[in-house]
Amino acid sequence: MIAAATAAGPPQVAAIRSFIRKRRRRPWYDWYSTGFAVVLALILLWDLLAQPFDRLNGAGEAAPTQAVAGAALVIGAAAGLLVLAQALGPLALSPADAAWLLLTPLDRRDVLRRPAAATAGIAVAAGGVLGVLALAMAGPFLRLPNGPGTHRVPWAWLLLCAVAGAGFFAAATLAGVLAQPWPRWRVRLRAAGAVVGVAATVGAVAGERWTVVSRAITDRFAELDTRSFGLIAVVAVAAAGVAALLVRRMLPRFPAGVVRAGSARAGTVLLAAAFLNVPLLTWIAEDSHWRGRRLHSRPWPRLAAFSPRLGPAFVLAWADWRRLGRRPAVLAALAVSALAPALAGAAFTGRAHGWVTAAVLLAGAMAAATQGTAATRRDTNDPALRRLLGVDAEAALVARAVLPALLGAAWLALALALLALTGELPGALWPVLGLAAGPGVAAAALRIARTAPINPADQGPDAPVTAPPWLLTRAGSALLGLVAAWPTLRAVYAGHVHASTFGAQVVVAAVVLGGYLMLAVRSV
Amino acid sequence: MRVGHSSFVVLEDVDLTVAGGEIVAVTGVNGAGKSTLLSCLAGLHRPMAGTVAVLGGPPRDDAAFWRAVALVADEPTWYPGLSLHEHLELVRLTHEPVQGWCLPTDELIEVFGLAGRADAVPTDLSSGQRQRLSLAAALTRPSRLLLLDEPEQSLDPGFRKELAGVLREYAGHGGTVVMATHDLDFAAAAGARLMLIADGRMTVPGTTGPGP
Repeated sequence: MIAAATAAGPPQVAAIRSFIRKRRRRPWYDWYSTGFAVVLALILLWDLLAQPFDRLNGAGEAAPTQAVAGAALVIGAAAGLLVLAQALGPLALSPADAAWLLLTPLDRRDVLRRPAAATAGIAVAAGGVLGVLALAMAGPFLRLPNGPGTHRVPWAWLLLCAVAGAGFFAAATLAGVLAQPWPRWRVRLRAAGAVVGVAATVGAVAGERWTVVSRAITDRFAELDTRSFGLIAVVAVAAAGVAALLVRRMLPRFPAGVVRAGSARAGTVLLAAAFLNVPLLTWIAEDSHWRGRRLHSRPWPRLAAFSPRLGPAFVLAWADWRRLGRRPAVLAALAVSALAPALAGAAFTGRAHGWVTAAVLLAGAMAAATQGTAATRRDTNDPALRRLLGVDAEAALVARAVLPALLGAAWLALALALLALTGELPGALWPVLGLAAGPGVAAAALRIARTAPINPADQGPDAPVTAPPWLLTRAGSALLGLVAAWPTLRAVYAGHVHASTFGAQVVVAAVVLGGYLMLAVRSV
Repeated sequence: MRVGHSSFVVLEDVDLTVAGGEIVAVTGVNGAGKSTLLSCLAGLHRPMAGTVAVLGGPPRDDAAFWRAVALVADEPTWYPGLSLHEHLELVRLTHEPVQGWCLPTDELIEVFGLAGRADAVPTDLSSGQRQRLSLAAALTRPSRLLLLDEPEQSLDPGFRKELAGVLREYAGHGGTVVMATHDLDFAAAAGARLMLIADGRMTVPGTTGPGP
């Protein structure tokens, strides 16, 4: 059979996309969930940035250490976003587009033009915000041209900083696109991002510890004027322009295999991120880490001899201990991240206590505890291995709570010790409070790990004004962590601790973890 | 050629020549490297050493190459909200002008036993029906080389025979098929030349020497 040839010429990607768009039927709750998430993200982002942006108007006083910590945070955030962009591609199609449009005679440049433009657009927007944020951090130490008595930063400076941030960030992201087909260059770029992040952290710590360092840096801020901002912006735009040109030239021969691999990963990551599906995100990261590695097999410890019921459960739970032992970089990253509460508090509010510090403490402790729940996540999605080993489900859950409890406690103790070292939290007993709060935080980490992936299409919201169910489920885990660490967080917020706080924290953590385990084993 | 990943070699000293209009079935135990071989032929994986020539030159990964080569490997991601028929229609649109032998979409849907589900969303189909749809997508557009990774998976025995017939018809019109398979009866029904990958090397089953 010979199919009739059409009179039309080679297919146009725009026409193909139009064909798909016209036939796709998107349910209303798709739009609702997306809209809700975007509005929520904007509100949270604005709430977070409002205080630093106030400094552009000269509002409030700021110490040199605050400006240095803030600048370091902005640089660190930029490095982190670049590493994230690399993990997502940076150039990626939707998985369906990769399956149906890539390995076809369609013009490769046309197929990839839209995702490339989206990547550049997102980089420009993020870079613009980072640029303005950097200016805001330096705000109180700038020598303004408006004359004495006026504290408002000129609009021209704002614009030039936004342009500079957008240009540099877009150039760096597009450099990631250029490096995408070359594994060696990808590794180098990732390493460069990590080095910049570490350097920024070290700079912030040095600025916090030695005033002379922060003074030297803030004195340099005072030398900036419209001409220097303009020069920086021109260099940034030129860098972005060159990178964009190189990417444009590369698109027609961009390897399909590289885009396919990136698209599959990015599609799953974005879907998981869109619904705050932490277990799936962590699952993907784990799989990516171990793929292609050759491990040195070691004998399993003889834990079963200690107790007929709990012994096998601890053998099962040992998987997480071994996994973590094979990832020393994760432990090192957790240790470094314990600086985050002190830096975030100093940068955003100018003091190492308050709500920002407390929020970062809670998020960090939950993230640390989550590092010990990989096997629990696997079991939630597929309990085949646990059943195969014949381990009692209740005992397994109890045994698996030990590692996240220790991780949460150790991270909180370290973070609080660092906060105490800055002198903002008086007294030497803060780390003990962290040790007491750790087990409670483990309950939240276990709840996150045991939350099965939610299909948003299955659960439409009941009324247009309510949050989607997946969001409520995720918020429930965060709330559990908040309750579990409440005495500690409240003390950090206030900046001082009473003797009764220790007792309260021990009781609350024990009740939350014990209560969660009791309720959880019923549902096993 | 020699093919591998960062920490291990999958294929060592593999040599294979396939003539136009021929069907070759590559078999071997799980992890032998069958899918990696197909990936190399599609140009999606670069060999560490040696050369790959497809249709007279290295896999070029350009429009002309993908007009001539159709690959069916893992299940594709389906467009949400698009029907089975619309997916097949999309494939023909992306390969316009449709010149050369291929099965018209409606006939393909009939032959592949999907007529009753033409308006269904692919995710509502059974795994076997989705596999039929993946294969139909490769056959509803003209090509000169079909690369099929375990095309028989999830298919019932009856349809495997049907598919073997379709592949014979494809080869009869000058098309070449290279497929990885575990089903030797299916390979025989398609009239395929059987090759075995074992310990990273390619041999003719029943012999110890290298294949042609």
